[in-house]
Amino acid sequence: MSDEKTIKLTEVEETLLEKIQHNFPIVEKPFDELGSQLGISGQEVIKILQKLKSEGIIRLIGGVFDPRKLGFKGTLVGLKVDNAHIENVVERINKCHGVSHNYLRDHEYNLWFTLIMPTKEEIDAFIDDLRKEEGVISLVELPAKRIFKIDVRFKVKE
Amino acid sequence: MHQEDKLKLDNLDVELIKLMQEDMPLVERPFLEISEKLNISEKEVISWINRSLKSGLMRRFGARISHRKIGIDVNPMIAWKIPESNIEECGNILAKNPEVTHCYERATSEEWPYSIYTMIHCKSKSEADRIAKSLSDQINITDYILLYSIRELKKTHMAYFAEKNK
Repeated sequence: MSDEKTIKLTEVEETLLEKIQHNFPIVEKPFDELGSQLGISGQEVIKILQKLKSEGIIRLIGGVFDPRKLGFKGTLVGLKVDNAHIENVVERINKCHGVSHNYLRDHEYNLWFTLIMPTKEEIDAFIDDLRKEEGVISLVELPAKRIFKIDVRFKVKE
Repeated sequence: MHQEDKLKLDNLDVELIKLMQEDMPLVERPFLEISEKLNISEKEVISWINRSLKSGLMRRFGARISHRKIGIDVNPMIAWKIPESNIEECGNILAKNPEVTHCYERATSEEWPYSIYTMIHCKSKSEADRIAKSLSDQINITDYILLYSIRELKKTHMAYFAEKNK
């Protein structure tokens, strides 16, 4: 699927990755706290995190906000785009700061992206423009009606 | 979604959101470093995070990892065609599965009749097919499509209230 190669992790790295996805300690010295849970020092925790970041395994450590609570609007968009124009359409989509995820998928509707913007009007305007883009054969917009689950945590250990 | 979901935010909330959504500094007291940028105390930052987690403003605080780099590189979206009357029950059943990270009900149209969307993450296509089959058996729905990702064209975190955000 992807061209990225899998990186082997040590046991301490794996345990740390599992902990910091969901149980990051919100205390004055979080790395010391993690270290004491793992039997290593806070400085060693920081060193491991720096390494995992440089390898690209950790993208970011920070807060994940709920766009709805911030008053933002979100939607999912699927497009059927002809192959000759796909690069231009992708460029057009990726330029938009409200697009956080965009995937080429194995389906007649081949481009799928999520869009988050401050207002519904901005979403509508962006989508209307996109429909007119050369190569866009069809477009479906699928706003969420109900969220049953969001729980992004990846099992690192076997 | 619903208008009432929106929380009332003051200027300090917005400034904190702008800082907390970025990568935290890897120093002994990261929240102290963040608090100094806003001229507030370390304690205030910590209690703001805890309040935000409680109110749901912040879904979680922690690491976002690149699952593709640790071998979890098969990430299909499964779209389910489910009769209106069964959506709630099916959504709840699908959501209970640990392999499912996201489960949403979405608007349908004649052109696109699928009502529930689940994201699953695994290490091979055969594993994905097996999980999809298991989910299908659990809800007794056979009308579904697996949309495998061929390529990640963009993946980034949302930067709310950033000036570039236009």
